[in-house]
Amino acid sequence: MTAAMPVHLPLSALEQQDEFLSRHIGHDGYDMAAMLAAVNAASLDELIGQTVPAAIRPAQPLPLSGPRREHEALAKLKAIAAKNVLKRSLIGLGYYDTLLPKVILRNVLENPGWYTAYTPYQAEIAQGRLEALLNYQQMVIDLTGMELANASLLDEATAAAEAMTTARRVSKSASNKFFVDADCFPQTIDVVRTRAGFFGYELVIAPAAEAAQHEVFGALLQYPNQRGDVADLTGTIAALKAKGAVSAVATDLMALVLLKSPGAMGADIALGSSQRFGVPMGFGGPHAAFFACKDEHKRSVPGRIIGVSVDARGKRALRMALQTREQHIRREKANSNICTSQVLLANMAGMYAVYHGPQGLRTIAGRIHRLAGILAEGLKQAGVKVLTQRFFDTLHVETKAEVPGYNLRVVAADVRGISLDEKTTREDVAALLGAITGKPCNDGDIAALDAKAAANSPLAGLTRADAILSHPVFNRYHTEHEMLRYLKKLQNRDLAMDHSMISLGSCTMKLNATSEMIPITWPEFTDMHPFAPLDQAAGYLELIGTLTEYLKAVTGFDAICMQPNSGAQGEYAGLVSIRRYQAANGQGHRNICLIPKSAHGTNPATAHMCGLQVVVVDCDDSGNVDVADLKAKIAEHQDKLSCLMVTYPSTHGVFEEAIKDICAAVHAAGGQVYMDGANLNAQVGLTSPAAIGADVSHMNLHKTFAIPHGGGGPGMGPIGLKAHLAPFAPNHAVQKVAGPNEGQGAVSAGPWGSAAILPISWMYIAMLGGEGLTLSTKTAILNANYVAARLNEHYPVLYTGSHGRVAHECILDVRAIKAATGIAEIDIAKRLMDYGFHAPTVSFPVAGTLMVEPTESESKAELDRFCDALIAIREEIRKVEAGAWPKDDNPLKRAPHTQADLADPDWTRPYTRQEACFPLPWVAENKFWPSVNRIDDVYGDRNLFCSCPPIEG
Amino acid sequence: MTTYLILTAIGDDRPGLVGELAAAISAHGGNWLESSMSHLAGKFAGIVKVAVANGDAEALKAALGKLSGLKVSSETSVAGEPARGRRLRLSLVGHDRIGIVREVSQVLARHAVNVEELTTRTSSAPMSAELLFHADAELLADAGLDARSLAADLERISDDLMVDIALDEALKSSKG
Repeated sequence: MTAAMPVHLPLSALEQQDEFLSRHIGHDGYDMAAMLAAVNAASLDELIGQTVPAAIRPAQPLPLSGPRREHEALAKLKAIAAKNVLKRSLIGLGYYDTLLPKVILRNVLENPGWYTAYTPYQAEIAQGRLEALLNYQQMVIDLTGMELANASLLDEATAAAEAMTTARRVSKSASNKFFVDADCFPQTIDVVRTRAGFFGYELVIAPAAEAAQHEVFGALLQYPNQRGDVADLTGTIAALKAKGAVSAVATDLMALVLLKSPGAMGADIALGSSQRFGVPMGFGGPHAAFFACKDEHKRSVPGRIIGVSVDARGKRALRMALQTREQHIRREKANSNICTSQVLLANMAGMYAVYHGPQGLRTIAGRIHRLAGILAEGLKQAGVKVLTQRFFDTLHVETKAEVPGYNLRVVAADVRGISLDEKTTREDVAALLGAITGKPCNDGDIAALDAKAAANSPLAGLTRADAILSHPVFNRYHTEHEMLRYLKKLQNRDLAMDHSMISLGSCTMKLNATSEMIPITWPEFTDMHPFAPLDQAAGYLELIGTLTEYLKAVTGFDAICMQPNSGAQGEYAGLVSIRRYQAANGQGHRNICLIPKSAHGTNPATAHMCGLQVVVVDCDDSGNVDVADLKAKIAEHQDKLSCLMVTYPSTHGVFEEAIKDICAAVHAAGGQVYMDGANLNAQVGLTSPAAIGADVSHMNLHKTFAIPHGGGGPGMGPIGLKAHLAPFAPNHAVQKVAGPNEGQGAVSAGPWGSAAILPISWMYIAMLGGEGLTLSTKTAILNANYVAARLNEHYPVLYTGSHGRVAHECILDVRAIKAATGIAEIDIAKRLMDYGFHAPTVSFPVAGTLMVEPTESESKAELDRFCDALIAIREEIRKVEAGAWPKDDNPLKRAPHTQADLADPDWTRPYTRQEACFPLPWVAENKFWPSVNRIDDVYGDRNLFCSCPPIEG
Repeated sequence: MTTYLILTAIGDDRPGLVGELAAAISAHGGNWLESSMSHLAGKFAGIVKVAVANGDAEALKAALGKLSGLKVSSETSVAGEPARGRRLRLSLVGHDRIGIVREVSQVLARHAVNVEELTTRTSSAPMSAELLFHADAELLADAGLDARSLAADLERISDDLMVDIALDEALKSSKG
């Protein structure tokens, strides 16, 4: 092709309104033509016609505007952001303003080396963030005084709900009741109530002091509580324990820097949010919740845990421990459906502790507490009644005063809550005192109050004396240079998308464009409290409103609920809506959930959490739902059928032609259809969940709509619903999400989930427009078919549609290779690291396979490098098969290779170090070095160690 | 009188093997009652319980000995003592490693639990491809079995081992 001379082009072409399309989508017209030829399609539309069944194609293109240029979309969003009015929010309730150290802001939160990584399943190329997460676990263990901590949960409220489930599992009590301290945060009670309802637990909500008067299997206590009061819980916890009940304490890491720990008070579980350790409030999230417990409860801990193991050379190496508890394996027996956690945010909070160290944190916590003491003293001296007796940072005060420039919590008509934070200054306290007492407060007044507050801390007898954060990692990196280099050191150990493509099937690791990421650290978005008066949040509401309209257009649904803050939470919210709708229509007895065999493990886990019984539907030989079996099971359960959970295109990467019939059959029996949106990237602009017949579906904004994976979170899983289900979507106890759904319990702590990352998806859709979204989908399908065409003769593609096409991903079958040679999918996965690639998805949805999802954002050159690597690996396998290399001593079984291999003075292997480390000519040019050799999983499980090990010499 | 024979048969896997075994059994009036067969590493391995008239047992054994490519050995079973105690179903998932079956069976023996049926397999874990060990067992135990302590002892084998035990009561209820 020859480019036309610019002087002859029309102005409209020179204006490049669609420039972003060519930045987001991998190839130009020339490459596309070559790829179409390779897949034997005359045109992109012909390929799509052979892939997506005509019956589900829409008549009209996506009703969205055209593409926007990057700087124009940013300007538009900046104008929306400016409508947020930033006041100092002292509302508290689990959200506190904080100072994110700039070195962490720029080198973690704004760094693609950290935010584009995936969940660390491939531990050998994830040692950096695994170490960061281990630091986070150690920090939580130290501050809570517990023995074990996980690598984060979604938010404090869902962590409390998980604590209830954990308590049910480990408690020996026969009671069906769970106690909740009436002074827990209201959003926590809201979420726990929703969760308890579907598990069939009865809640007892009463003052904490009464906890042990009830026969319960567990209790949730808050420390400090929503009134700001700190009480020693030792007696209550002991009394609960004597009755066989498990105690969970919701707490605050900043307060615990000074206060006696829940562990010291005998708690079984401690949980809370680590937000105020440097993570912006962001209108509700994302933040990392922590969850810690006694060692004896380790089998019941929800979420992921990082543990210490060794590699093939005996060197210390980190990995995710206790993997067999995951819902992937336990499915409908799983206690929790959580997959995505909040890795990026947990790492930020952990690094905040690394940067400040124990002394720095004591200073910050001490300052917050002192300012609260000064405020309390000043109010008392002026005759204003302070209702909170023993406080850390929060006071309930009898006043109706408005303080200009500040948001206080309106507790009652004449009571305000004031929570101080890391940003609070003496000037802030003077302003508060002046406005509430009606008398100006000057510097001299503050000095006098300071002396009194210092002498009269209300925490006498409640402070901790034990050492915290004494591990060297929290005592080494306090200068910015040291911190900068530590962050870089860890980053270098991780393979993220700034190095090469990550082709994880079902994870849609597409471009996370810089322009999409920039707005998330604008102060207009970061500094908004989720419970701020909504007239101050007009910018956020407009952002959410526009994104809602975009998502309605894409999905065809009538309503969107933005609350679920992960894909699994979306599934939960969707099924909850179905169950509430059925209950409201006298169909509450419907409790059967049909799930195809090929489903992701979260589906059955979610159904179980909603009180549904899972009935598995078979798949046929082509990987499609076995329609005859489905119809038989519908007939068998007709009157009890609640819903079908179905992924589309299927987890096998195929557009099933029978999907409309399948949905119609479920509807005819009175059931509802839940569509798992994991594969929505293959639908956008070509069909939609509503078009195939779904009633409700979640969207993984972190897959289809460009939110990065963050190394294992954050994610967002809003749901789309048809009109009949919309009134049953989650609402929120504090911030009414409005609409007709008053009174529906919440599923997440944040009213709009992790609102602070919604600008990413907004920007993505605004810049691509309807045309770009559709072209992205088509290109994603082309790329998958191209990879399938190039690799099929080397690794057979397991499933295709009726025209031999795959959807947006393809499954490569390794089982025959494994049977013939002993080389398994895991060996191929590890060997890809030596070529500089992250493995595709291994053994999901079919054991013994690799699932490749290239997305639309990879160029032909990158796809070719990836295919070349896999083809070269296939040749290596042939050498093993032919006997040139022994079955147990070859570059595959020994992969990945490290610099320790390259420098090994005793190298006696039957292959060269060149073959080991630089297997193709281009590898050396941009070599990625795994920092450890193959990790021993069994060692790690037999020697479970989930805190920071002593520093190696 | 009827004799119950427990046959074990092993041979190189090929089409028609089961058919030949079945033909030999029925040719001697044997009744194929229960069986379990598998293909393991290219071999066919099967266990079959056969009922045969006392007088025909020896002839059947002799005929089975002559099957080509299939090694069949037989044991005469003391038939039909009724099962007593508690029936339970056990399922285990954990990382595979050398000795895991031995360790599991030692714990079961210590709790005086009888293994009625045990199937084990290994699989590649979703997402991480770690090698997983699965065991499903039908067990028979004394009425006084402490299931909680059995589970705790099994869990001590490995930190990652997930143990699910369903007791006979639970098996009858609908909750799966």
